[in-house]
Amino acid sequence: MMRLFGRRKGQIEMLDFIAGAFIFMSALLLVIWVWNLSGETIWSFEETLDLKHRSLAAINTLSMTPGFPTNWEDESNFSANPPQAIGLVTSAYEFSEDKLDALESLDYNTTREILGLAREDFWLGIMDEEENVKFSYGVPNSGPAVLERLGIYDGEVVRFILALKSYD
Amino acid sequence: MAIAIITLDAIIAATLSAILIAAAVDLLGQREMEKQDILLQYGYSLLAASDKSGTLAQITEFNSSEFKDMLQLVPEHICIEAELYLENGSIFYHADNYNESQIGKSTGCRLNRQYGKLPEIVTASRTVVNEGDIYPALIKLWYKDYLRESEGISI
Repeated sequence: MMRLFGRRKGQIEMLDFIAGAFIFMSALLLVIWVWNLSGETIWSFEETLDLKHRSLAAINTLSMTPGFPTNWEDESNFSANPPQAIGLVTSAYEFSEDKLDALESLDYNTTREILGLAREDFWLGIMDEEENVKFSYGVPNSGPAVLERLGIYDGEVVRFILALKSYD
Repeated sequence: MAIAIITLDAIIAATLSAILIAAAVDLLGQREMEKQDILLQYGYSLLAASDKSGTLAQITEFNSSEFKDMLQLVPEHICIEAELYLENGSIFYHADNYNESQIGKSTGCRLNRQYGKLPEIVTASRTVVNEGDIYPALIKLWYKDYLRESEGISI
């Protein structure tokens, strides 16, 4: 009886161990699954945040500063001496025809690098109240990130739009 | 001894859980702040453009047609209220983009205030000077609910 009891006791311990190991493995797998899921969500959020920061910096520079040098649009040879910062306004939100013309003659890839958007395709546009496109530069149908400001161009209030599509 | 070890385990687990929860709450708060900041920057561009184009000055001369046209440019998913005040603080002018009588379209922004959580409203102000008179201008902006939950970037 003692031997039988001893064997049974051993079997119970084995059963305990198996049950414990099963619960532990289940918990471990659950943690790994949640970790991966959260990791993907956090990574996606961080990417969105990064894109948001860079696009905000770009639209603010374009719509609130004249660029650097401030008369960068007067430069005749952009390929030899590109501007260090591109701004499209004479004062905040007042768009300059000369600067917009100068931007059109700038190489798209150079502009991307100067704006800090080397990892994205972008489109810049100015639209009036009737949704007529008064200015367009870059790759149309960019998105899904769309940033917008109101400004003044050619004496009227317009929408200034920056749309971005990330490669990542 | 065994109880002491279990208690220590529990304390460590509780501390780690609290740290994780605090980090998650902080992340969510940060995301909300980013969205409000984008909205605020848009609001300031609207105020600057309306002031520099003379549209706000026109309101002080009892002509608000251009400003109402300008409010039509505000994206559909944004609700906006604009007010101009007199120097004594009384309201001189009010407009919004959700009152049908104001600009001819109803965007449903009012629903946000009647049902569920109140929206996070951002305010931007600018002082308008016309013929020596000072008119403080204030705009309030908020997202419609469906955008608040989206992950996209807009405005």
